[in-house]
Amino acid sequence: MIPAAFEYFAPKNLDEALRLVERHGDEAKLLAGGHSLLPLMKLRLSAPRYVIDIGRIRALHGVREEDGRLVIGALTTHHDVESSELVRQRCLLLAEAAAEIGDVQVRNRGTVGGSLAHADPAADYPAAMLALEAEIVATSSGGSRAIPAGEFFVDLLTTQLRPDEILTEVRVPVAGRRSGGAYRKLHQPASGFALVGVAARVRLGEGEKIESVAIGMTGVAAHAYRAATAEQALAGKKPGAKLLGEAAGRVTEGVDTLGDMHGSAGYRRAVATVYARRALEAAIARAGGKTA
Amino acid sequence: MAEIKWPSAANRGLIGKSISRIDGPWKSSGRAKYTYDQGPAGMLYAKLVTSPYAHAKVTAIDTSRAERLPGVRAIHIFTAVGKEVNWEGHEVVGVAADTEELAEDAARLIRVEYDPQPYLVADTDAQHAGPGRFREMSPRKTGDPEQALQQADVTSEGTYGQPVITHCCHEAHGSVAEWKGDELYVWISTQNVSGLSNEYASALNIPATNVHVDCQVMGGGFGSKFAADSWGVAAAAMARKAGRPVKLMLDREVELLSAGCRPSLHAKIRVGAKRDGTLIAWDSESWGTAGMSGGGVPQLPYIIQVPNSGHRHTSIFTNIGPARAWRAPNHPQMCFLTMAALDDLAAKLNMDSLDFFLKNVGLTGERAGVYKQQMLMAADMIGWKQKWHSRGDKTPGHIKRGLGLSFHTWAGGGHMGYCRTTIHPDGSVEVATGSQDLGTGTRTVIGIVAAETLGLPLDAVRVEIGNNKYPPDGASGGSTTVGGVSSSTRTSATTALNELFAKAAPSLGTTADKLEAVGGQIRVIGDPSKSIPWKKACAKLGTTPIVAMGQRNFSLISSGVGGVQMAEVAVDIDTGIVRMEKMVAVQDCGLIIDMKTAMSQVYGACIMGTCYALYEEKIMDQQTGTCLNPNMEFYKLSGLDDIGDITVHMMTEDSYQDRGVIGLGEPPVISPGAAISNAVANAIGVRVPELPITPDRVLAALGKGGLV
Ligand SMILES: Cc1cc2nc3c(=O)[nH]c(=O)nc-3n(C[C@H](O)[C@H](O)[C@H](O)COP(=O)(O)OP(=O)(O)OC[C@H]3O[C@@H](n4cnc5c(N)ncnc54)[C@H](O)[C@@H]3O)c2cc1C
Repeated sequence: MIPAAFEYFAPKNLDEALRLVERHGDEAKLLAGGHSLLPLMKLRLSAPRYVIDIGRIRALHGVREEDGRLVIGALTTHHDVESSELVRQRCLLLAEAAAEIGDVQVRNRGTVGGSLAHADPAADYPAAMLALEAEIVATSSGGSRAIPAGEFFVDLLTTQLRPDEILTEVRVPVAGRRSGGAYRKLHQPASGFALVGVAARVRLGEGEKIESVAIGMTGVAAHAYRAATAEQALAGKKPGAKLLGEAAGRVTEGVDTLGDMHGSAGYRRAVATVYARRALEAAIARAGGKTA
Repeated sequence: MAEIKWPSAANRGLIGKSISRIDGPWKSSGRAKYTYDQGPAGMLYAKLVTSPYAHAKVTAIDTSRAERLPGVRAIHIFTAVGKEVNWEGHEVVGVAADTEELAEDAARLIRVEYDPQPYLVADTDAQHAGPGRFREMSPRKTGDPEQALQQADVTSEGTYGQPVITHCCHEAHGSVAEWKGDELYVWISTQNVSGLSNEYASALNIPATNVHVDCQVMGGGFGSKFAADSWGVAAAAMARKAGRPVKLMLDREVELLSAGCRPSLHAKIRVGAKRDGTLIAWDSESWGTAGMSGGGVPQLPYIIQVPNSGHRHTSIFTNIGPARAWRAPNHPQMCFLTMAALDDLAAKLNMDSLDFFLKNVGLTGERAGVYKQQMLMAADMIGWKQKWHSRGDKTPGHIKRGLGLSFHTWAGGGHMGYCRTTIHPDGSVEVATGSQDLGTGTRTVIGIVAAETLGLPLDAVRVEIGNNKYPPDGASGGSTTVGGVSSSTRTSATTALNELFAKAAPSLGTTADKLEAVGGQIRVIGDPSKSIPWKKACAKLGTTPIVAMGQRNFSLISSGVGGVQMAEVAVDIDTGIVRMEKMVAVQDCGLIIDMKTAMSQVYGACIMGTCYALYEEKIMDQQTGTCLNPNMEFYKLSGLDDIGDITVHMMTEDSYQDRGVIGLGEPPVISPGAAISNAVANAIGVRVPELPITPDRVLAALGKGGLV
């Protein structure tokens, strides 16, 4: 449990950090909260020659509201998201997801940017960002680009980020009226990671029908995904127990479900349905102005 | 003269009270030094290279690159070229270096080549284990089980099992070894302080007199720390080679892979009863593995002697890991299989499980009356009659509740050992024995017995244990420590006291046999006005202290205890998650020396039992022969939040106390698996046949998906 030797940089601003990633590229790893990187290094599953600690870049910390969107700096910790009054008011789903991550120590150190860049198949934010249709902003010395969450997660621990890019912020559209969201999760007993995590966002329209719905799933497959067939089953319909049950039953349809020692693929499918129903029920209740 | 027997209940000042352990503040303030905390000057750190294969022959070892690394001081070969390793994690090479980091780097530079051999890491099927991989034990039979099964009004059949689990001691195995000339000093986490010198002596070719073993505090052993082990000897050998002390503690991974496995046990069981619930037939076919050694022979049924019973057992030889005794060897497994099978029969009889077990309690033999009393008491404590429902909680909602019970037995007794009491002329007292305190409270128990015997407050006695320079005491196994040390301490302290009485008697105008020691005074029995303070009496010793030896004394101890446990669980039938909501444990254990540490053993056992009931399993990958969860993230133990309310009741009536002291470490860990499994079956209406009762096993049993 001792990492291999490495060289350490602690840039004070983004420009400096970008120059370092440009220079060291593949041989370097960015260090944010360290709660994914350091365990990998200790297990020697990762042995970067250079570690670039971006923790001192003040500009990447914090949450603000801008043009109807929440803008969350990459270095904002899970605790900051969970406890931000702004996030709680504008996007309860996200605060809920943050509050469900690991334990207090993990939430005090781990960051939004680190979690998304790492793309653990059982991480919570990816499901939330998919359901929220967020944009993930990647910056290199050549400039910035905004990547839709739906395109960001490519595979197990693999994203659209290039080695010379730093994830700088996330932009989350703020939901309008008659909208509600919720995050529901079954924890792995020891780490707290999601055995199954479901982020559901619903907008109700005319006649209490579901005008739009997005379901982000994590823990179930190699990377987070949108449960498209379940969403289709719900769109335009009036929610009821039967419909929700049917839709929830489809959240793993067409998905290559993970099976491991925490739960077989069959078990994951079974509980994905349970948690999808719970998340949808809560999101719909909130969209209808009820507390859930 | 004080007699060597326990004081009567009316005359006990300390014995039986709830007393905090004397080393508590020392531990909680971090001043207690565990093996891991030892750091003699110039100490080197050692790391192991272990086998990545479940079974292989070592064909080449190249340590040259590691040896060239500056700061590497010694290399030790555990498994020479040509020899075999029999499980993943089996130690092959050790290396000691100036720093831990360097030792890790050096270990990575050592190249070992293997010729992989066929392996078996499954214990679920004895018949397909393959030639040489299993051994059938001689069958046992009483009466005619087949005929009795035919005649039974109701029968039940099921297959139940529990996998190999590990000890997962809080403190890993290991030691720090230092040489001073030809003398070896070791700090080692051990259950056997007095018993290790021979092992070191023969391995290192020095006289046993030159081996000095110390273990003041330790973080549990549970049966896995009786020996110095290859890694203990290696630390000493590398320290000798390097001329510097060496610390070799297993890391958690090697600890879980190589430092002990509890044998698995599975069985196909058929049972039968008359309509009124009277048990008449038992037949079982069991199998399990204890690694390559085959392991102990389980006896089924457990405790309950069914009139017509047959049992056959097959040991499977696997490469899952090395078997070691695990707290109450064989008992938790035998108990689970028996209680689960009988509870399923009770359900088929449509009987309340408690009524069923009460009905058949006579089959437990001479302690039937005790079990009956304990069952009724536990039932009262958990509210059995108010809460009981037949199989399957019919209340709406996805949380289902249920009750289950189990009971157990254990011998106890006391191991051989010696204690030395020294009374100094200034009145200070030392009791010394080469025993060990595994965390159970042994040090405190010795202090209580000595202080009670001498009529002194607990803090007036200095207790010295955990070093082989003291009079030898047995290994802590089989729950024999408290019997051993309490009786040797009582004997030596009484003998010392009688010598003091002889010195003090003339000044009180009487003889030694008329004296007693109470409340810091030596006084005449029946005439408390005639007394002298303890210190004054001791001053009569002049310059020579009294030194008296005592040994294990059968008149002060006994063996054979029992206990009943009941569990209440809540099962989420949507997710399959089981929560232990409540457990009650009623336990007898003879004369209790310290109520607090005794109860603490039972609390701890209920927690440990909940762990193996719900979480623990050494998960083996059949494709590679390796273990998938050798760490504390994936080898999950319970957290605070997983443990419900535990209520403990110790039987303290005179009839129990009069038996003398009996060990308690093991018995209460036997029942939790069975009680929890029975409670889950009661809650959800079907048996989850395997431990641990993981969420996917629950959903599979409910037919809701799961293990696909
Ligand atoms: C015990 C434990 C329990 C946990 N439980 C959960 C859980 O329940 N749910 C959950 O979602 N997560 C969980 N985590 C993971 C945790 O949330 C991590 O904090 C998170 O995944 C990574 O964030 P970090 O800031 O620590 O990143 P780091 O570990 O510092 O970095 C992770 C990776 O992302 C890269 N990276 C970091 N920041 C950036 C950036 N701005 N731009 C580009 N690349 C970057 C790093 O180079 C590295 O490859 C747990 C972790 C632990 C140790």
